[in-house]
Amino acid sequence: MKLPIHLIGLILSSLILASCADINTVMNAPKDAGASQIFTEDHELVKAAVLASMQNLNINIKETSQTANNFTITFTKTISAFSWGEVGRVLVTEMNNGDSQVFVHSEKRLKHQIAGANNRAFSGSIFSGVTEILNKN
Amino acid sequence: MKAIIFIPTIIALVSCSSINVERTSPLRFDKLFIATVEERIRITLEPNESKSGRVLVGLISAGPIGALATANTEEGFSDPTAFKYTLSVDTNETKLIVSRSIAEIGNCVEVISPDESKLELLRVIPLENCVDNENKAARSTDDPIMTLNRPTNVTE
Repeated sequence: MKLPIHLIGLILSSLILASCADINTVMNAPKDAGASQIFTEDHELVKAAVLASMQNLNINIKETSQTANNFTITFTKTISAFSWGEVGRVLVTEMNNGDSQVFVHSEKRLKHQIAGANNRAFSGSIFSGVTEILNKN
Repeated sequence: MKAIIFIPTIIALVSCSSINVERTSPLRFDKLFIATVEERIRITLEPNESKSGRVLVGLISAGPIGALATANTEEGFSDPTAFKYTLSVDTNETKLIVSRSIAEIGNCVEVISPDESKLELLRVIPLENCVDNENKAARSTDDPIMTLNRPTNVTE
């Protein structure tokens, strides 16, 4: 009887491990994944406001990169008592009309965990910070 | 015995971490100065979370499976990156700053402080702003009142 329990445990553990997310998971996600908001202010100002909004959140900004129209910021959230941590990507895209669309996409490192910060929590904090900065400038 | 290890671990984790997304300081967006980008070098910052620390927490809280799960992180997990910029404020003055913003060499940028850290933000602005900046600096050097105020420039 002991062997099947160990076997079940091993299979479950393997399934859990196989469903872990990392930075590459969010980096390779579709461009329009997650929540988005459009800002009509100058694109460079929006990019700075997004970084400012993220820099004083309790997250770790991993790196930034820039392509022709997309400014990408990847971030992680540290392991805590109720979460194995989260990973995320923010994409600031310059639209054809000059507006900027900001996409926030995050995933829990352990996809099946119930606790932890979800995408709504990250996007809500980031968008509210950007809006506050843009309203002041 | 397990409870003796488990309870302090949980207390330590709960007291040091938050599952909520929160601001650690008030939002700021203080414009500092305008300058031209002279040089940009990618650098590695101090990690906020180390892989070994993460694995240790996993091991303590969920045993070998937890250690395996927490070890499953991306390449360069503990290496957040940013850029070190050399900026010329005018012909006589250069400044070094560290930022996660991306600007190209020759760009005119506005340097912005978002918090108490030494990580600033760069906003790329039209080149005319930097030309105006240098012209103002040049004019202030030629200004007779300003020149008189400088003892080193006074000759007998």
